[in-house]
Amino acid sequence: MKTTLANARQNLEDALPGLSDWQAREARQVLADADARAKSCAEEYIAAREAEVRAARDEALRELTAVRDGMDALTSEGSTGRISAEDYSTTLNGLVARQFAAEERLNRAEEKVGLIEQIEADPVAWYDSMSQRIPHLLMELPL
Amino acid sequence: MPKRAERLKTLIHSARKTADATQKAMLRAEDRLTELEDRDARRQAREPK
Repeated sequence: MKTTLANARQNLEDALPGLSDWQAREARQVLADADARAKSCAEEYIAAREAEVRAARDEALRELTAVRDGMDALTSEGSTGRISAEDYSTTLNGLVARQFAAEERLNRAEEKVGLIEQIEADPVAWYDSMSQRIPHLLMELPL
Repeated sequence: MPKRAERLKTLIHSARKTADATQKAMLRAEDRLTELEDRDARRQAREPK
């Protein structure tokens, strides 16, 4: 039947007293194989999220560096007295908007790191939670 | 042991240092804007009406 791995594990524990050694060994092997498939799936998911985090972080870092340099250049230009406060303000506002957008990108990347950390801590539990939301992920297990 | 997450946290942390430097640059730029606004206001006050 289609079930979560946690349910299958519980079913196995409940059935163990009535199983022969051979049956118990077979059932444990089925569960171990299912765990391995779940971990493999989690690993693929983590790899994809990791690539997204790295790309977002690199992009945010590039943008923050460019904005920092732009702000330093603007501050220097402001000291020459050749720029009006209005023009200076317009340029600064544009840089600040870019700064906030880059920081937001970094925040979202950090949230994904939190998710990756959770999955790494217990990939089978993650798989179970996903399969409860996406039923076709439920495994067909004779347990 | 969440190794990937730890590596990514380190990367994010280094980017946060740049974000902090950018924030400081922004504060310096805002201070300069205040100076420019004061300068422009003084100029306007000196102009004949």
